[in-house]
Amino acid sequence: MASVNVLYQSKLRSTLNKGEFFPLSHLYFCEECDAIRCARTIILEAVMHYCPSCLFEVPAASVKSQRNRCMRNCSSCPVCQSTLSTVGTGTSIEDEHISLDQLTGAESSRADPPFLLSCSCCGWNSKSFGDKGVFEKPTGIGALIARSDEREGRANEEFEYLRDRFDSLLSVNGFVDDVSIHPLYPSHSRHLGGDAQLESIAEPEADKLNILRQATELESFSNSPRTSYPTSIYKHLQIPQRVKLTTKYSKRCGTCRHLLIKPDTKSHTNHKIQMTANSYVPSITARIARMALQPTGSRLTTNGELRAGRTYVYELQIINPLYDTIKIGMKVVDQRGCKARIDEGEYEVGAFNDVMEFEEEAWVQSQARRISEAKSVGLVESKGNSTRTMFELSVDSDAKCAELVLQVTYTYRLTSPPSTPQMEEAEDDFKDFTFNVLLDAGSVDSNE
Amino acid sequence: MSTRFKNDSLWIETDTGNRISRKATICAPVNIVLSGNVVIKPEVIIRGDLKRSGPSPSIAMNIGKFTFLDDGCIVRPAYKTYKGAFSYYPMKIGDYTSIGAQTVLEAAAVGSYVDIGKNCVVGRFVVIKDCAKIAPNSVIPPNTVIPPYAHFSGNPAVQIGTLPESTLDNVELAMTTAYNEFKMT
Amino acid sequence: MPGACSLFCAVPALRIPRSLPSKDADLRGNITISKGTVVHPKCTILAVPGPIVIGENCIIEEAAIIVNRRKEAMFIGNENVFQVGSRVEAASVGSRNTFCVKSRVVSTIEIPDDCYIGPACILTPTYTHPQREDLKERLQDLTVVYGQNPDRRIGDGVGKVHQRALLAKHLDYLRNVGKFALPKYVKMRHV
Repeated sequence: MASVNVLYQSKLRSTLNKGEFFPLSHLYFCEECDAIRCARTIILEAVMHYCPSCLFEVPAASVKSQRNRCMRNCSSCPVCQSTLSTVGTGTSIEDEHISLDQLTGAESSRADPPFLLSCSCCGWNSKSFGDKGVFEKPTGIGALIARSDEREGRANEEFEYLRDRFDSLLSVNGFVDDVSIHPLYPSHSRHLGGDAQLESIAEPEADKLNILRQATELESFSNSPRTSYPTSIYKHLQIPQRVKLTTKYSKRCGTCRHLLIKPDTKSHTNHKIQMTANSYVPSITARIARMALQPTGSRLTTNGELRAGRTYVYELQIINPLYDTIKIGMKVVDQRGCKARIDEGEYEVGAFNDVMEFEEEAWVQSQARRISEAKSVGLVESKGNSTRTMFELSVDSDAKCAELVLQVTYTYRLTSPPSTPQMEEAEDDFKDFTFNVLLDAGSVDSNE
Repeated sequence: MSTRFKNDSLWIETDTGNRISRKATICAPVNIVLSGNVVIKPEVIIRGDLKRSGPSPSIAMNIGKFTFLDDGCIVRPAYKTYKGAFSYYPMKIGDYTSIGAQTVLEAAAVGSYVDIGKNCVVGRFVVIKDCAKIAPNSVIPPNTVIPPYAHFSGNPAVQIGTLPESTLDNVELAMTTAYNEFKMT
Repeated sequence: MPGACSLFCAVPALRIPRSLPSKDADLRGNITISKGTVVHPKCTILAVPGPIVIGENCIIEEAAIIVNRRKEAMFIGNENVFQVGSRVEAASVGSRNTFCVKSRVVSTIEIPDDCYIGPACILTPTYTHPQREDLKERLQDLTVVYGQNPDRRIGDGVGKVHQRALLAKHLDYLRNVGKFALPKYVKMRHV
């Protein structure tokens, strides 16, 4: 693995639990608390609901009545889950084997009723579920499906039935000590005749009632170990599902409740408030330096794994997202399976300049200070808002993986209001922020 | 300009910074609009000749800036009959979008900041919204709409996750860096 | 400029005895292409051990590969669509089949009529016999192959006329593309 996985810790802690590290792109930054926030330390608030297929925005009031699904034409295939499209299958041409030359007119492609829902992936169409799958108009099919009560009726029936079963089991017996009849512990001794109760739902209306009546007997409650709790009962039922709505959330800091993310209701892409960590915290990437810089014998294995007992040289790039120069320093706080040798001195990383365009590239090049390419530890290049340093990693001889936790501290100038006559340069306020990053250099090949 | 790159025989760089491999097959370039800083790698096939039917000139393909078409991908407009008349429909690809190697793209529109992995099949009239991501080897059935910030994978592709809000900035940075570091060899 | 493309369309029956030197399409061996078939640039047809006979009104799109691996002739029926990047080595192909993008059919499969091989599906026989490697599996008519594994199901043939009409118009468009586009960029070879 030539590149190194860099994960940031959402909270500065001395205990290093791997679950607390996230990629920088998944983190937020709360200015009020002056802290990094992760998915666990934020609060979600639903802002709007829309259909991921037609992108139609559904008002919050009708989301519940529509069962959080799209009421328009969007539905997904019961066989392969891809989006269904409405096609008109009626045609004025009777003969299926008419020659191709006679089919070039506009007439031949006219989509007449009846309309079907058809899957462009697996070729399934709604004709296979009878008259209820054939429509006279190509619009409002979602509503028709919902109204025809087929699916939801069945789903509700299934839910009610299961709830009744579990309720009765739990209330009558109070406490189920006979594991063999408990639905959560499917018995192996029972017949493996399949999920009779699920099969029953696919049966026609009349049989269904019958079977449901039978199913209320405890004996018929069977759960074969292999087929219990199927992932989708709809697959079994061959009924299209209306597409589930997607919810857009605004995100708040879990501690101070300030908004971190506020989506723009007019655009699906932009956010009105976007406090993502990548615009506050320097981004750190690391990769193994080019082979010429490695000590002799320090090659990667053919799988790109590190070899035990060797020393490798890595290149660390720090990119500053702030509009001011920062000073950054780092030290090793924990290492697993390796010993790292890093330069603990402070570096300066230039300010981010977003108006920099290509004409200025040459200027940046001239400003670039190439310190030295040859050394294996310490600063090698600083250019624009990025700085590259080298560090050395000696893999232990019995290591399985090489991981390194760095504590990074950076100092920046607080953005002060436009200088008033009273304010002097000297009053610049500096502030520092510390975070931990985990550098995962990948697994180590020990078969040397 | 001419001394900047040694491999002038293999690559063409236009005034707007488009970098096009001479090994790419570009059919009817007159129908293709490249917005600048587009990279078209070897063995790419772009079908600009499949334009709207009718004698009037029309644009078949519109590709945004800082977009990468990786080795061997095939980009062609989608066709259908509308009101009985057959036509190919123009394709629009947004800015900062990358299309993976060997991918076949027949979409109607691909937004900006989209990452399409290698070896994917994007069916006819698929609409991919901004900041979406398609995992490598995915197959997107025709007429699918991929919502913004969605991560799709599989055959047929289904949504497996949502991308973080920082995707837009990260992709923009990654694509500009990739363009600046791109060597025409 | 990067290579201009050319489409070629067989108007009368075309018989290519050995090979047609073409920088756009790679056609090798004894290939017969019947009237009305359109061959896009950059496709490959290899009839090296045995000949290939392609029926009427087929479309062979760019990067599609048709290979005959056996000594016997490979017959391909009418109105088949070989989409971008498909690779067909089937023992025989009937009529009105669609081979989607990046699909692949191995040489021990016989394709009848009205089949649809979905995108990126690799179609291999469900059953192989170790002693009889030449044993061929014949699909049913109207088979749809789709998905990751891939799965098979039998379609019901709904919308057949519309599909054929789309193909008829598509062929019509491709034959006339030379008229609309600038001849500088699209060369139409009527062979």
